[in-house]
Formats: sequence, structure tokens, C-alpha cells
Amino acid sequence: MKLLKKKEFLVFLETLAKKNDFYAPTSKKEFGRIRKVDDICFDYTKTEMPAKSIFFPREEIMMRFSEKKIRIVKPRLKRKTIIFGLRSCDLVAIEIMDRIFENDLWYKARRENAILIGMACNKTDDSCFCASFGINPRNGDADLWVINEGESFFLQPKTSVGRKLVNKLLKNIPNTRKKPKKRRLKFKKKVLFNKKELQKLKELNFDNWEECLACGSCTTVCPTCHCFDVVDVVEQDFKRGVRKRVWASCMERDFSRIAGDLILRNKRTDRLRQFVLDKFIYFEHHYGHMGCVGCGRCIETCPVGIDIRKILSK
Amino acid sequence: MDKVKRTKILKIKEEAPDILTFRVQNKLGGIEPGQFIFLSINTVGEAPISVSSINEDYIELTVKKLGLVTTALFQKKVGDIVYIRGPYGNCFPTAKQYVLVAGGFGLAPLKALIEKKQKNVKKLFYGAKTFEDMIFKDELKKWQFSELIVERKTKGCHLPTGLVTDLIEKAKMRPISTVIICGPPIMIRFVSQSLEKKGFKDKKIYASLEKTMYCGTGLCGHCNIGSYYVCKDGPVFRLDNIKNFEEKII
Repeated sequence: MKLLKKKEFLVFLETLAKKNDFYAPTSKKEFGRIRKVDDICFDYTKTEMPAKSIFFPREEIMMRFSEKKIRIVKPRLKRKTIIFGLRSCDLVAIEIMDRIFENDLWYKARRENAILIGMACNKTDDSCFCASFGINPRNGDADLWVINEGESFFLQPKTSVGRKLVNKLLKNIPNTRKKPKKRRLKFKKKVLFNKKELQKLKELNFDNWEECLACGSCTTVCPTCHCFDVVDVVEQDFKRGVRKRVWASCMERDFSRIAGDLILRNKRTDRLRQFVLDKFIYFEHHYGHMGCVGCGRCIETCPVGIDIRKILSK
Repeated sequence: MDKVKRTKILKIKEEAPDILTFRVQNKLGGIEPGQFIFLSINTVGEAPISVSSINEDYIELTVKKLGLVTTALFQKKVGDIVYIRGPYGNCFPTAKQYVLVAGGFGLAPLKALIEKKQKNVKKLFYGAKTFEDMIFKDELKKWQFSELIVERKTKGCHLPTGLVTDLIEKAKMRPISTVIICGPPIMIRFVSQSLEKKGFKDKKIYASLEKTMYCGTGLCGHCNIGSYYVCKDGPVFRLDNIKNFEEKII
């Protein structure tokens, strides 16, 4: 473990930002490309948008075609991608996304090119409930783990990639025996999970949440939501174009449309039910992990104040 | 996603109004009856389509003109290029005896099974709106085991009128065969009810379902029903599984 003063730490980040595609929280809202370290925001508990769009962009060109030819477009990655400021919940979400997109060419190319730098939480929001999933906000599985002590930063490499990074750039700084202060974070609400109890969600009457607008905000900010549409976009000459994948949401009415104009989930509450059951029951079946990491982004973004913790505790 | 393969249209045959069979080169290798492929037309898009005949050199796709991709496909001629990828999904179960039930152009995927295992097919119940709407008319004449019914009589049609469930109720058969149903959801519901009356067990009844899908590999999330993805775990499901689905689909 290394202990750096704030100035030294910023220099470290500056060198990373110069040589790589460097992403960090630019405001409380999102992870963005950083060129100057002054643009990094340190005062956030979690960003409004997760980091998923770095690996799984909102719109991704998969193929280019002309009338007679079709060719796969791989992501152009000239430099390493480094993401700084990921929270424990974000890191678990990335782990889940890795399982989902295990065999996906585009996601894998982006993901394998990336180094993750996590940062411990010093406080929690009202909406945070990661501890309910056994996630420790003070310790996460990143390549390099950073603990922010205000004026100093502890750096703890956790993988060989992280070790290499630290050894290369921080050769002159000796290892420290000091340990970061222990903090116990308080969570406003905890949800207790019991797999058998979760099955009861299936019998829950979702009409109780009739206020749901099915706007899709929750699926947009969810770090593990991965649904997409595939669309062809054609140039003006109608001869050339691209095939893109674009984020989709199970909250859209058309999402479950089948031939004969039959819509499986016509009611808004049916779609909310699908979202909740998918996260807590179906995900486990497909990927061996629940689809929720307790980041609470959906709670904060919901325009009508639907709280997923309340649904779970019913 | 798998690589998209360029393929040529070898033959086009008219089956019924707005239904054509396209024979294309088989660039995908081994396909089992029941599986489906993605057909794409550049500048228009992709659509999942079932395979109605499987051969080493060619496959046949029987398509109804319904959406954007199929409408664009109808403008193609012999020799034109389309793109395919796949195959995806599971296949029809293997059994010693089959009873097949089809409605409308739901006969398309079953034809691939009949061609492969004609000896094992005991009966085929097939219903359509009119005689003109029936597909594979030439083959139906050859298939001695087929029983046909139409909803409406048209000129020169000697077939009985009614629904496919009427055929099942009249038929004399012991409930030992494996049944495969292919047709619209409402047909699957009523056919399975009349089969149950005949004494068929849920575990012997299979149905081929359809849902919107974009990837075929369980990523895009559109075909999710409960703990299943229709593209990966289906499209062929056993009736007891369908009944336990989180959402009512039939």
C-alpha cells in the first residue's frame, strides 16, 4: 500500500490522463473523458449515471454495409481506457455485465482494454443500500483501490495490472505501514434478503404502484440493464448504411410486441413487474447473481418516487 | 453475435397469397428442425425466420409478408443476395411417434421435421383460414397422414370447415405420441386444451413460441419471459414449462 499527499495523487492522475483515455466523475452526474485533473469531481457519493456506457455505449455501430457487402466494425481502441472513481457497487455491476457480455465482441474489446480504479465511499446517500447485497463500500475488486482521507490518499493495488501501474509511476514513493482510518458507514435503510422470500415477489400485486409512468429512467441509470434494439440507419443514397445497437428499455410498450400486434405487457405496472422480477429472480437464474447491486440510482431518478426497497420489503 | 454469411437466392416459390418460399444457399452448416435463423437485408434490417426445409446445399425459408424486412425480401429476385446468421435456439424433441398440429403458416418449421422423420409422423392436423391460405399444397397431397380443415369454404374447396381443434376431437388416437404445436398463441391454448381432453399429458406436448428478438444470443433482452429467453432456451417449449411461465403467453 502507498500513501500519497493530495498533490502527489493529482500528479499521478494527471500522468494517467495524458497517456490514456481517462474517465472520471466530471460532476455528480456522470463519468466523462478527463484531460485536466481539475475537472475531476471528488465530492460525490455515486454518479447519477453509471459507468456502463463506457463499455456498452448508448449507440454502437456493429456493422457497415453497402448493398453488396457487409463488414463488422470493431471498436477503435488506440490507447488504454482507465476509469477512476468507481464505487464498490459499480465494480460489482461491471462484474455482472462481464458475465452477461461474456461472448460479445464489442463489449469484450472495450472491457479487456480497460483498467479500473475504484474509490472507497466515505459517506452514503439516503438511497444507498449496497450493504444489503453483502457489498462493502470500503473495499472493492478493482485493479487499484483508492481510499480518500481528505488531504491524503491510500493506494492499494489489487491485481497484477494495478501493481504494474503503481510500480511504474510511483517508483519513488515507498510503501507505507500506516493503515487508513476505519469508518463504519450508516445506511438509512437495509433490506434483508432471503431467497425463498424473494420468490414471493411473484405473487405481489404490482398494481399498488400504479403511479409508475413507465418512463424508463430506472432502466437507463441501472448499471446492469443491458437490453438493446438493433436498427439499420441508411445514408441518403439508400445504398450504404450502418447497423447499430441502441439501448432499449423493458419499460417501453413496444418492447414486448410480437407478430399480430400482440403486446405481452400492455399495462405499465406489468412492465414494472418485469423490471423488478428480472433484477431479483431471473438474473440469478441466468447469470448466478442478482441484477441489483444496491446503488440506489433508480430510487433517486424516479420522477414519481417509487422506491425499490419498499417493493422488496412488502 | 455470429458472423453474417452472404447467401444467394436460388429459387422462389409462391405458396399462398403473401407467402413465398425462398430457397437460399446453406452457408450455416448443420441446422436442426425447429431452430431459426436471422435473415438480414442491408439497409432494411434483420428478422428471425424459421427454416422450412434443410438440405446440405440449401435451406428454405417460408415467409409471410408482414413487416419491414419481409416486405423488402418480397422484392428480391432469384440470384439476389441476402445475409443470414445462425442457427439459433433449440430444436424439436426426438420421439418415436409424432402428432403435429399447425395453424396458418405455422406449418413452415414443421415441414423441416416431416422431411427428416416422415416415418415417425403419425398425424398432421392442419388448419387455415381458406384453402388458398394453405401453404405447401403439393406436399400436403403427398403426406397421407395429414388431416386438413378450413375456417371458410371457397369455390372448389372440398375440405371440411371448422377449427383445428375439431379435427383433434374427432380423431381416434391413443395419447402416447409426442405432440408439437405451431401456430398463433390463441391456437396453442385451445389445441392444448383439447389434447388434454384426449388424455395427452403436458410433458408430451411441445409448442414453438415466437417473440420479438434482435440478437438471438440472450443479450438484447426482448424475448425474456420469466427465467427463460425464447431465443436461447426456446423457441420450442414443453407445455408444463409454458404453463409455469411468469407471464401468460398462450
